[in-house]
Amino acid sequence: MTMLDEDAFLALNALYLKKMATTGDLAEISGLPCNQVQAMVGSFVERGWLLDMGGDLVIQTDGMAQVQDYYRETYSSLSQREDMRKWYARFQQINTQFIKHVTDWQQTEGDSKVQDRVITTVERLVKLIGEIEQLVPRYTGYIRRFERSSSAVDQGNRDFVCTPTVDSLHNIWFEFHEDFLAVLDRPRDT
Amino acid sequence: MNMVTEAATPTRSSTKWVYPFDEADGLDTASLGGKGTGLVRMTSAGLPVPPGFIIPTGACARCAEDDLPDDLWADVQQAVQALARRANRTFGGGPRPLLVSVRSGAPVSMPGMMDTILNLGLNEAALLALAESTGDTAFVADTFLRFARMFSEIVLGADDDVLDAIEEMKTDLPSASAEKVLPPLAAAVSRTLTDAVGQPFPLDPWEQLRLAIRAVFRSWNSRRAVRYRDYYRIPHDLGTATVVQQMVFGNLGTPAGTGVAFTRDPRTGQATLYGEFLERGQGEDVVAGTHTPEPLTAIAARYPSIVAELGRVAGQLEDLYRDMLDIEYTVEDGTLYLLQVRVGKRSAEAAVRIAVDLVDEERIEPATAITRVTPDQVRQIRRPRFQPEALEAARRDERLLATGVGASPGQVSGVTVVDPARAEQQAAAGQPVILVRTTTSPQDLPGMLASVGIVTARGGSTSHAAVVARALDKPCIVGCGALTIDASHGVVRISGESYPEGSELSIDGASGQIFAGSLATTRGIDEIGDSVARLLDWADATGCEVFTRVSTVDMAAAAIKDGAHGIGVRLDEVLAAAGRLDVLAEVLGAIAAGHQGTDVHVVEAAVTAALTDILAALDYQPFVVRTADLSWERVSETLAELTPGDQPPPGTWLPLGMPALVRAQARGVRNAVRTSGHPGPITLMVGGIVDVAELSALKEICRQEVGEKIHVAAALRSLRGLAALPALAREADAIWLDHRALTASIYHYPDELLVSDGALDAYLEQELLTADPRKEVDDLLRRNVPTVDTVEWGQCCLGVNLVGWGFAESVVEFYRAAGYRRFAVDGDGVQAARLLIGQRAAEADAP
Amino acid sequence: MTMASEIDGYTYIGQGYSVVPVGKHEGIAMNITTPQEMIKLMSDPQKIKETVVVTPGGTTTFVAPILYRKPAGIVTYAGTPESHLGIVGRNFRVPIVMTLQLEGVDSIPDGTPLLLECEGKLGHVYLK
Repeated sequence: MTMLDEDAFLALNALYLKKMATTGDLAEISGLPCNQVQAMVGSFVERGWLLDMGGDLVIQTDGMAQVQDYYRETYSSLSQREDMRKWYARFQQINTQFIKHVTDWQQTEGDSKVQDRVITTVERLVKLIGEIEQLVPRYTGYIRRFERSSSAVDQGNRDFVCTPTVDSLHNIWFEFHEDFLAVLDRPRDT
Repeated sequence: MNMVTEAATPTRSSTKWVYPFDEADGLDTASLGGKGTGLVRMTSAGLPVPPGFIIPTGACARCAEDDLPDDLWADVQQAVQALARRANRTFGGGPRPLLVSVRSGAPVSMPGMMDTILNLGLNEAALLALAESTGDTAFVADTFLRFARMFSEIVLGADDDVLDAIEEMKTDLPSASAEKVLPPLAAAVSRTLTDAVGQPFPLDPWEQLRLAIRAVFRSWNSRRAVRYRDYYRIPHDLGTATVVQQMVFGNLGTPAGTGVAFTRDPRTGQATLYGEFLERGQGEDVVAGTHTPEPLTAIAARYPSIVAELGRVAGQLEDLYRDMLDIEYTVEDGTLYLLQVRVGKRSAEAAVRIAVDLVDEERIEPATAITRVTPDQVRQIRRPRFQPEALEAARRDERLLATGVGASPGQVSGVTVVDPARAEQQAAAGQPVILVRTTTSPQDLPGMLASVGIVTARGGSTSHAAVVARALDKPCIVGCGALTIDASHGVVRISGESYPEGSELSIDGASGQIFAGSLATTRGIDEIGDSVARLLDWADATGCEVFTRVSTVDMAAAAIKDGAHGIGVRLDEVLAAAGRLDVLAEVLGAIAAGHQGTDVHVVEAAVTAALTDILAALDYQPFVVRTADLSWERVSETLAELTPGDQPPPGTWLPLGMPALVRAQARGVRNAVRTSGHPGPITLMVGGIVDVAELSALKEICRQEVGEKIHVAAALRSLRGLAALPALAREADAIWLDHRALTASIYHYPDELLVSDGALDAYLEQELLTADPRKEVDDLLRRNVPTVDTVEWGQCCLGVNLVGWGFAESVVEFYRAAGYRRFAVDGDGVQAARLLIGQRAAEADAP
Repeated sequence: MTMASEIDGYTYIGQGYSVVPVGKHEGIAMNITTPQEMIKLMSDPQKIKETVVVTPGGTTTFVAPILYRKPAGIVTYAGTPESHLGIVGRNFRVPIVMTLQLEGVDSIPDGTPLLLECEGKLGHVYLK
């Protein structure tokens, strides 16, 4: 069995992180053209890597294995590095804060000061990702998404804080976290 | 958003960098920023404001990029020394240390800007001196830790865990003498921060101040602030000002605390102080949510003198600003200080009440009062709509069930009924009913009349349901494909879910959205109807007239109540609302089928019957009757439902293409006038006229069928018609410009389709059109609408018809500026239009 | 603090943190411990709607995506409402009881009919 090529990985990984998404979501997140993703999705379905439930795609166990193999092959040199482990420890600190701020935001019905803290924490993560961007170049995609969604929040579109059905800050954060754990080869839930 | 277009003048070499609050009179907001302007104004009015100074926006550009210029820093040092002398205190030392706050203040507020640093100026000497002078070591420790936390976060960019570590030091304080507690505390903070940030925490107050000021200016160029300005096209060279102010302490002495207050109740506009107070708190506490402030009503019992003093100050502020204000204040050891003032945000109801009350109190003129309320607020009062929070919650909870075509605006909740007869019964029993049908027909009319809203699964924006709902001015959604109706079981199915009859639904007739459950609505007009009426009378004083179109007696009564200056009807709508559209359909069908000499008398009789009641309800108002528009595009869908399969007779699309029908309608009008005893004048209008010959023919018809008592008018719907306007004006008694039809004709869009704007919205979102034809007057139209002073219009009245399209401010302004003073708008827009037109006229009259 | 109340026809079996106050909801328990099991359930939208997902918890982030499919409820044996699961759960208003402390039973077998009561800060679980 051969490993996924990069584009296929980007598309399938987007689904791996979200577990369920539409073709449009995958194109948006991977940054690949829609028709290319469409074609790939078709072939993934044929191979049983994902299931198409009337537009909602759900990843399947074989698809997850494909993505995990790619992570292992591509990032084996990174997963053992001391600096990456240290980076993750720093991430965990702001991760705790981020979750607390978003929870506060939900419970204060979107208090604007709390909202400021949510965005400040996102800005910290963006800076932190900048430090490892050279090691994992595709992480610029997360920076791009974070910036777009925090602009939306600043412009008054509060859905982009944590509504699960849009590309909200919380969604992006969650996906990034899962992604980085996979790079470290530490899928935490198995 | 209010945008300041002119940037503050950049500074020169002889620049004064620093303006104390009492020396900055005459500088504008562009230079002082919003916060600074308020402080300066209150200071010069002698209100209790802690002294301070402003570094104006002009300094921002330089300070944001470089360090603070030497001469600026020297000025700041001097100003701080002056503050210290005046307060008989010392900056960075004893016996009475001076502490300051540093805040940003831009002319326009935006996210990403540095907020507030309190309690700046503490070194070891100042800490001990403050403990000595207050006798309260715990207070000093608390004050220092608050500063350390804010400074670390905002200036040094420390992470939350460092801030948490600082926060924890608060709880670990030993109870010992100031000498044993405070210096070790300062050292511990400094150590923690140096470790975490790699930058020493400055214990020199001057260094603290320099870094804080620099951080304010730099925050102007934070990525968030820049992005925000880009998006809202706020000039980047506007700059922020920095405000440095002597600290007062809400956690020192008794009583002490901090709070916000509105000079009047922002929910109702009642002239009572409204706000809250957090005893023994500083500004940040309220935000952090760790403490809960109490309402002022509770505080009044405990500290009556504080609330009384706040009330006095509120009155003085209102004298100064002549408006309702939002105040931030602090009480230190029993003394009240004001920290910020701005014009207060308020509900629609409060806006009206406050504007009228301020006139009665002789604080403002009526011409000013009408600018204090927005047309949208008046609209909101007239027609309750969903509370924004309720709507947001419904979306968040995924209660949006389906989206159809918005056919007639309005937001309403009710219970589903699928049968028109049951709708009548339920409504009679006091239930708000939403009638849900596959399609509607004239037999459904009584049920539609009884319902508060109408939803159909099929049909477009010109279907029977849509036409009738608009004629009845009821919220309506059509063509909602996700919806099926099982009439035998009384069940509505939406996207697979079943809703038995009696289920609560909420519909938005503008967006076409259907929600599960009922949604809370804003308060209606009843409470403040008189105030609205007075406000609008002042708006009318500018000499404009607002007409509206009705199709039932109830609508006519509502229009008169709303102060419409004239009433119009369209006969096809009147017939639809009376359930007699079938008469038109039959006659047209018969003509189409080639029956020579079809009896059009039934049309005359139907018109007579439908108009008589409406005319009887009016008294002196000018009344315009527009003949039924038979152009197939308009009536095809409606009539197709009535007489499936028929082709239109030739000539229906021409204004006078079926003269027999025009005559029948004219006779119907004549009969109704006679029966009702309306004193006139009545105007008969035909739409789509382009030539003087058409108008002459119409006049001849009227002369023969009605006699001399009737006026004749043309509604113009094309550029050809506009070109003929000067000639038509010599013949007609009135000419109305159908703005929507004119726009549609330029774009070659179907006129009626523009009503349901969903498709056009999506189109605009994809940026396939650069301008929204509904919101801006097309350039081609601008060039072809003659200004009133260029037309010899003699006895002819000119008007602009905006019915069926809401009204955009820019559209009204265009016609007003061109000299048009008479507008026709939808029923629910009469009041809003009266206000808007009055506002525009008042603005134009202002020197 | 809300106390567990007696509900006729139901047996109280424990309490934990409630994420969002959405009242009482019923469903059939299904234990899910691996992403694979979760994916399998996600591929059956009809079944999800009647399922209360029971999961060991801790860092059960793989469970969160199932919320998009609106399960009848979620029960975890670890974790707090301040978590990814909590944030998403609050948005979808799905009844979630976290860090459930069982009383009188030591597990919830697959197929058990459950009632979740999420009214205050605490959530109560009942057996039908």
